[in-house]
Amino acid sequence: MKSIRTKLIIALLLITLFPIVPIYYLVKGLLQQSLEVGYNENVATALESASSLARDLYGKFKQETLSLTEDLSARSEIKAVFETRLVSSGIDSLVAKHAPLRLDFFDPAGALLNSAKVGSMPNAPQIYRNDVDPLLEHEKANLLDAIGGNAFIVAFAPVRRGQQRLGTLILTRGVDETFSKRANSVVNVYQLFKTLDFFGDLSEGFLLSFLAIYIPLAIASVSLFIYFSRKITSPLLALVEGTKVVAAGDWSFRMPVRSQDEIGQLSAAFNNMLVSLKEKQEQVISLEKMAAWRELARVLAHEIKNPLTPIQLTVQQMKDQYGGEDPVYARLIDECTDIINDEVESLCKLVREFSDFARMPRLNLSAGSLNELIEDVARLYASEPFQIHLDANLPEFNFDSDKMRQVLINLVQNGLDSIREKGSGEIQIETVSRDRVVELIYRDTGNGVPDDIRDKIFEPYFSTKKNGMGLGLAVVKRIIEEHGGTISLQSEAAVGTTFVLRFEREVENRLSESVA
Amino acid sequence: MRKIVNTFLFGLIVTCQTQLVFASPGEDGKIRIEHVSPRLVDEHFAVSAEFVNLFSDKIVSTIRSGLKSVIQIEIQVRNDAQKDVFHKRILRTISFDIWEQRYAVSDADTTRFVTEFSDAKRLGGRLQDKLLIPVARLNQTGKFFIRMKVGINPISSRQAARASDWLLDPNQRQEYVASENRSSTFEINLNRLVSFFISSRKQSDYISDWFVSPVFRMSDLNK
Repeated sequence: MKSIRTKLIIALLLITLFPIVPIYYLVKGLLQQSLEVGYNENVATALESASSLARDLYGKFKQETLSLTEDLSARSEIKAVFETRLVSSGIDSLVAKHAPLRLDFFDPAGALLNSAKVGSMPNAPQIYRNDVDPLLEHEKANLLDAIGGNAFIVAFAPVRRGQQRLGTLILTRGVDETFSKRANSVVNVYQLFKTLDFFGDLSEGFLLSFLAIYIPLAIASVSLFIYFSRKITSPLLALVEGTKVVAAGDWSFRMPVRSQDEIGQLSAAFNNMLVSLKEKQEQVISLEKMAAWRELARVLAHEIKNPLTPIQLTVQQMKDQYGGEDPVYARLIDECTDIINDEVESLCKLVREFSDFARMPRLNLSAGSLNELIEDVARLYASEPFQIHLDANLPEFNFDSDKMRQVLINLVQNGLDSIREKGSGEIQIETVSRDRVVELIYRDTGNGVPDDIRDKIFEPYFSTKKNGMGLGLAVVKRIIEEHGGTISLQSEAAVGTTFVLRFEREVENRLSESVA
Repeated sequence: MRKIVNTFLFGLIVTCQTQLVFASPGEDGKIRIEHVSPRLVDEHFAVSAEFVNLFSDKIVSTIRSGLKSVIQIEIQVRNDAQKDVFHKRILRTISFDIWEQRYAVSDADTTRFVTEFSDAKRLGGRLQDKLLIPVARLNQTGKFFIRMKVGINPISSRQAARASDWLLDPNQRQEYVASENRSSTFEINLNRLVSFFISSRKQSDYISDWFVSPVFRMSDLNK
């Protein structure tokens, strides 16, 4: 059987991991579709074509530049520069439509004679002597190896007048900036495409990246969940263990209440339930005991009461039938008869007490004032040290006045016996109304109840008095409980005793309805 | 619980490994080293060799797009006790200038320009009497053999990073590609992670197996 913790963890694992499979295929499909839009054979071919186109255009531009250089090398205006070292204004108009460009004029020894720049070429490469030296012997125009990428084209041509070599013309021409940027952009993207060919399956790469991020996160979330599930289920497990302990008979077990949440409330409710169950259990035991005692009392009363009347009749007949004249014997018969009658009378009283205790008469409930009843009882003990403090706002409630009177008399009589035994003291009865509860508080300053017998004083036939039958407090408790009330004892030996009788008015009303 | 987690992790690892195994390249067009010939040249131990399938159509196409490829040649000379007596790594680059329409093949100290790919292939795809070590430093009577491996990397790490960046953000401007300054640390790490997974294949696809020559003695070699 799996624990709730295991079930929670399995549930979380399923929740966390189950979506991986559909997500994997969904994301993979979307990625493939997404990639195929931009990364496919048609786009690659188009990029290759665009790249070729850019190269071709550049090549054409180079050829144009080479032709231009050749043409210029044959122009008289250019030759004049070599001869005069002066750049005339006619040069500008000669090359204006090919701008931006720069013309460098080198003598046959490779020394720079002059330069002419048409248009703006801020980043144009410089031509140095070591660039020129290899060109001095060239008989034909040609392109110079690339200097500065594809932004500039450099061409050279020998310049002659007749057979005489005047020098070398070097033309540096700027490539159209827009063309250059666009061509570079096309080439860059084409190169990126070629790069992607060497990558693995792109969608799988992305998915593995996704998993590499997802898995640690999933592990972290599972770990967190395990932590929290332990936190949640630990009190439940403790509760399970607690129920086992209680089931084994240890009613003192209490769940620690560490929070105010549902778990805390459950723990508190469990503890309250234990208290309540303990009280109920004690009540049941008490009732069972009481029932047993009542049965015993009933049997005893029955068995004792039956022979008493024949005994009385027989003794009386024995006394009446004596016709002898021996005065001593006649007196002896009288004395014995009186003794027997007295003892029988005592036994009759005992039987009545037993009968009263054994009987379970229905309560005769009626609305009444507990204060008035207390005042009546107090009048009976007017000569005794008896004080009453009554709550004027004490509400009327349903009770059996005869039974309640017996309760008061039993308590007061016990108290008076204790005071007399001690030599001094007094009795107080107080009533208090609290919300829906009526309290009667009895106090005496007699000998009190020793600790060792405190649990027994409500049991039948338990008495500390020589002539007591031990039924007084047992009867009190039975009557209070029949009224749905409780009685509790607070006592200290040699200081006094306090009984608190509590009656819940709602319970009284329910009892009343039940009796009716 | 621990068992469940272990089972999950094991399954995940098996799945990932299976994916990687299926992604590995086949044997067709595998780069090979042939005609390895040790010789004595100018009192040096030299070696010649040809690299077959080094320039596949895909590699040639990539070179012609303007990307620079790096050829890496590992040469080990071992004695019969399997101990290295000499080890050399030769790096050679081959590139194509798309504007000038010419190839450049560069070794450590020389660069040669050719306009035809067949010439570039000849220059880059073979070793011709490559001087390795003075003969005097080798035991003349000892037995030796050569181990050689060649690989070509058509994509530099910078270019791979550019492509990864471009994949993750195709709209970025070209001049910002591969520039880490524009990204947060998280983005950089994420990019590197993705880059690692999507570019992890390229290393193994273009490397030959080790070629091992027969055993020879220095005295057996032709001059």
